[in-house]
Amino acid sequence: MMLYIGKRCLSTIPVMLIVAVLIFGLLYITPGDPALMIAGDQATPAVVERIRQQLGLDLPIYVRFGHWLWDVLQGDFGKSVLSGAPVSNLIAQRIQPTVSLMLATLVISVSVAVPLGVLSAWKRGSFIDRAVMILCVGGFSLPVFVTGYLLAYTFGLQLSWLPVQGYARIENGVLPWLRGIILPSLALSLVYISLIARITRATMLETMSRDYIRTARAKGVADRSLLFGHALKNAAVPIVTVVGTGVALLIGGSVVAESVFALPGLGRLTIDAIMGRDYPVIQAVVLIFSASYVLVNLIVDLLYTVFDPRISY
Amino acid sequence: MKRRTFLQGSLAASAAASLPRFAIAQPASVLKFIPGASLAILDPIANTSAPTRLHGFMVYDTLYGLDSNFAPQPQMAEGHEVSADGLDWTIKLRDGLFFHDGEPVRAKDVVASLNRWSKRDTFGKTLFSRTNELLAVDDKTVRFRLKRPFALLPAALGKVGSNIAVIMPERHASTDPSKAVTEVVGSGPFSFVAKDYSPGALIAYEKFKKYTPRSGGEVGFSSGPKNVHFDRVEWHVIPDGSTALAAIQSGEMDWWESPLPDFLPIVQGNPNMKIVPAGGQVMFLRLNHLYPPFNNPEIRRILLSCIDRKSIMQAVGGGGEWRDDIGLYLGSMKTDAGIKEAFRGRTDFDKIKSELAAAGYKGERMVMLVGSDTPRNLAASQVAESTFKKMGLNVDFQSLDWGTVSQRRASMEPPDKGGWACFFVGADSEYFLDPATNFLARANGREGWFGWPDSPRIEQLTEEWFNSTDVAAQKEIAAQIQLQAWKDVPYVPIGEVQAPGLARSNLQGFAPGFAKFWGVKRA
Repeated sequence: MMLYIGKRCLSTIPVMLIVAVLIFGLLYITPGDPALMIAGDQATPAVVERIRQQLGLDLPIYVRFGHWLWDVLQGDFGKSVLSGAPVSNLIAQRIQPTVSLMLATLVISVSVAVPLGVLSAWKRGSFIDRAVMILCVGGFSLPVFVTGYLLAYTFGLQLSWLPVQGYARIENGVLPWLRGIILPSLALSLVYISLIARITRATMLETMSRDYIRTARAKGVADRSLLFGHALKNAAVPIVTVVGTGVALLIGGSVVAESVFALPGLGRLTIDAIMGRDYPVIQAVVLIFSASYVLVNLIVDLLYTVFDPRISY
Repeated sequence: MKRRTFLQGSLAASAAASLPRFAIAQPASVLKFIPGASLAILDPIANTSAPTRLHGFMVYDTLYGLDSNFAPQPQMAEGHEVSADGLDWTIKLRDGLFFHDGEPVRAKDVVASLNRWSKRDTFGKTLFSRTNELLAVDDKTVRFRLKRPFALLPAALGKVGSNIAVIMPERHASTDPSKAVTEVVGSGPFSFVAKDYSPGALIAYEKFKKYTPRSGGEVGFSSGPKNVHFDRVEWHVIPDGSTALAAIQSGEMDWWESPLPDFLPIVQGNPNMKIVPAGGQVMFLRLNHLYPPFNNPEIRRILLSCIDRKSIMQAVGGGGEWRDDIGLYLGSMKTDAGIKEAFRGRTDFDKIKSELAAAGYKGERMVMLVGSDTPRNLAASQVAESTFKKMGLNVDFQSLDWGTVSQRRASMEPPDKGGWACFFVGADSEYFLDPATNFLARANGREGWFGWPDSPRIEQLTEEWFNSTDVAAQKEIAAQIQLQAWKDVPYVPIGEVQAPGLARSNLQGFAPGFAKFWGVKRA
């Protein structure tokens, strides 16, 4: 197992390198010049050129890439070309809201979707099954920003139970943190609840048609034990896969949720950096997103061994 | 679950639901503000963006400020004395000026700051081109020794359009003006809270307790007593307009700098919110004078005669307050010279097409850069495109994000190599007060702003205006500049739109112009 984990970790190096080259290349061909942003409207070409030199933007792309890669290997993501703040500081400021949002969304999604999917499969063809499927179709159809506005309007403006925007850091109190994260997580969860519930239902239906389930039922095993102890455990591998894939979708979804609820997370940092052509920030954030996706995939692969003893590495 | 546990949970949930609404409460001494855009660069000398200027006025102070009539008034200066020949200006600093690090403001800080400012600002360059020497006479006195009289000196030092002549500690002011200072130490009414600064999310300021406001007078555009009534001001960056509106409606935020015009009717009649005065913005069309079709003055004049300013401003301003009768200047140099004759709003398009052909237009592609993520620029461009097409111009409408427009417009290449022919944009009305502030009306070729108009006559008149010491003569020269501008068309002024802010009803003390955090208090 440890050998496998080691190999997987090593295999991420070329992946990250390819990602780094791609990001750098894309930024190179994208129009925009941070020197112009910094200099402002009335700057003369000489001033803009001087700023470009200060930022190292006048150097050939391979030299810039070499400098950047060398710094990253030493754990230095550089400084924001706009604010001058170290990129690692900016990321440290912004990572908590995004991680909170993603974790809360995952927790809500899995804890709601899996029981719903199981229930739907167990009561196949019933009113409950149809209601769950309608909920899933609705969840898929509603974009995150629509759900977000609806939730903010209802629970923020009309009922005044929760704030309509903003984020309270967890170190300032769990309750304020929770209040700030509930609505964006709910808005983002609806899609994942729909996705995971449908997969859970389909996988459960397939599993429950297996011979060993019929045998267990013939032997008088109770429904709860049958569903959760036998069927769900065997149906878990596809569900875990979908949850893992969902994390990648969550990265995109979190950008929308962060904008709608004004959460100061990595998604908004990325958008601001793209609009401001803040290259070091874009490169670092995309690299972190890629690394986290690779890590999630590794965790998913390891979880297979937990749910299915036949799988080993 | 046991029945007892369930009941306990239900009771707890009911009790929680019956709690008073608590999303509104916030400390009275914190003002929460939603800026129009995030603050990325902290140095108002190195950067000219609107948030940086706003930040500059909070943390820094200037020797002079402008009153509500745009006349310069002493701010950090106690006053000044001018020698009989008008060449020596001696400016005394008033008592009680301190930087946020506790050090007193000294004349040497002023000298270093103004030197740095003069390397970036157009008005500053003009002043220093007439300056033999700027020196610190003692800790509280600076002296300008001029080459020739320059009555606009206080106006230059008190200008409100970027770059503003802020006073920094000498150690910051002696740095390269093209490299932004990242440590913020000013002597203004607010100190910057560096530890809370999160670019794109939160910018925080605290009341500077050692700040001594000017005594007497009224809060002007940037002059007068800067009395602060909040312990802390927080800028919360909320990029989404609907979310920003909801934050004001719910009372989570106090003041929104630039709400979308569409939202204003929604809040009218809401007793918890009010519309507050703010600055105007001038919309204009900039033409590229380097390449066809607009390197041809006759084609530029035909365009001027056809542009439909009213329709464009209707699209830009919507149901808000706007006007389409502006010339080059909005301040004391405002003049109607030639406006009616120049802007005729012609619709005889067959005749216009033949005039364009006679002027030498051969159907060259007219690359129009459109910042489609900025609603006003987009609206103006869309309306104008229709007119341009009717005129027979070969419009290439390029929809881009504003960052790309900012980069593309700096290109002096021809249109087929990434260049451009025209773009719409707005700028704060403070830039259009007179020939000193209106950088768009300058026509100094490749040394000038994007579009690079070249008109020796306009430059000569502008120089005469700077040299004049008589207001009546200046007004006459300003009218001549305007008449010349209708011939050379360095840019096309479209109109002015008012951009009001939105605030909770319990806030009062707002002054016109850009957002000022002094004078504002909670009722």
